[in-house]
Amino acid sequence: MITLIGTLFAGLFIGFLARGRRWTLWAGKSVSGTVYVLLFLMGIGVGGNRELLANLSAVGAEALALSLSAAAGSIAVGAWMYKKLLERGSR
Amino acid sequence: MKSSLAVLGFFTAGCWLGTRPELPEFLRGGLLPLAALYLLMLEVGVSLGSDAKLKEILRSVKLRWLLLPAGTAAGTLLGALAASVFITRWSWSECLAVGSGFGYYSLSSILIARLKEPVLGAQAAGALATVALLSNMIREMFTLLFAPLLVRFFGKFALVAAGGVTSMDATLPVIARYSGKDMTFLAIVHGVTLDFSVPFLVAFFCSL
Repeated sequence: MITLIGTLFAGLFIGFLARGRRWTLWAGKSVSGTVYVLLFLMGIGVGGNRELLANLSAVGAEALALSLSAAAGSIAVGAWMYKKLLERGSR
Repeated sequence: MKSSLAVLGFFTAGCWLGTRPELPEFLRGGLLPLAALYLLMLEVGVSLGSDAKLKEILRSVKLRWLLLPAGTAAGTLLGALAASVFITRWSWSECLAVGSGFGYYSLSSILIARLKEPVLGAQAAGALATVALLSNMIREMFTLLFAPLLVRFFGKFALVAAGGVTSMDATLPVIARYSGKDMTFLAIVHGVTLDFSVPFLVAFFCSL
């Protein structure tokens, strides 16, 4: 865990030192490629997971419930904050 | 949108391949995804660290802007907690771990798969990771699809909040379009702040 965050910060440090150099532009572009590879490998993991495949509809339903309620929570807070901001502005 | 479809495509291709018994074993282990994850962290770090524009943006940040990502995080976690009441298969902390992805589907799912494996076993951890993957993907797509409606009924901030981490990249274009261009910096700061909190929060909830 720490090593993951450490790698992120190592990248930040390297990126900062190398700012302006041309190769840093590649780093941003290669992120998409790596995400594709990561998702591909994750897909393989899912495909080989018998228990998961048997419960696929449950997984989908759970994901839907979590995403919508999480989004709803954020939206509610965002709406409230915006309202507060507008109220302050009109005082 | 296009990149979301590409991601879905790669994932689906992997799924199909995963069902084939003749697939070489080394592709199935946890080592390759982990290596890819470290590579991703390095790349994200380098691209953020070398971005001169980002530095300018962060320098102009007002401290009170951090209220929005904090609010998004709180709202998300409360929402996930509410959903966990109805989800019988996973504990409340597992649901919160999924919610802590804030839309960052690739990182959150891989982290959960890895962190939950010793506790739940490979199959169940993989299942939770897939819930995290799908749920965070759905969050991004939901934000993209309903952007104009979100702004109309809930205001400018709500759209940024809905996007979570994706407000810094994937949903930034719709935020600029529907919440307005002056929201761009806030959306980026919002996304970056949440981006950093994902690994900490996911790990924290996975350990409970």
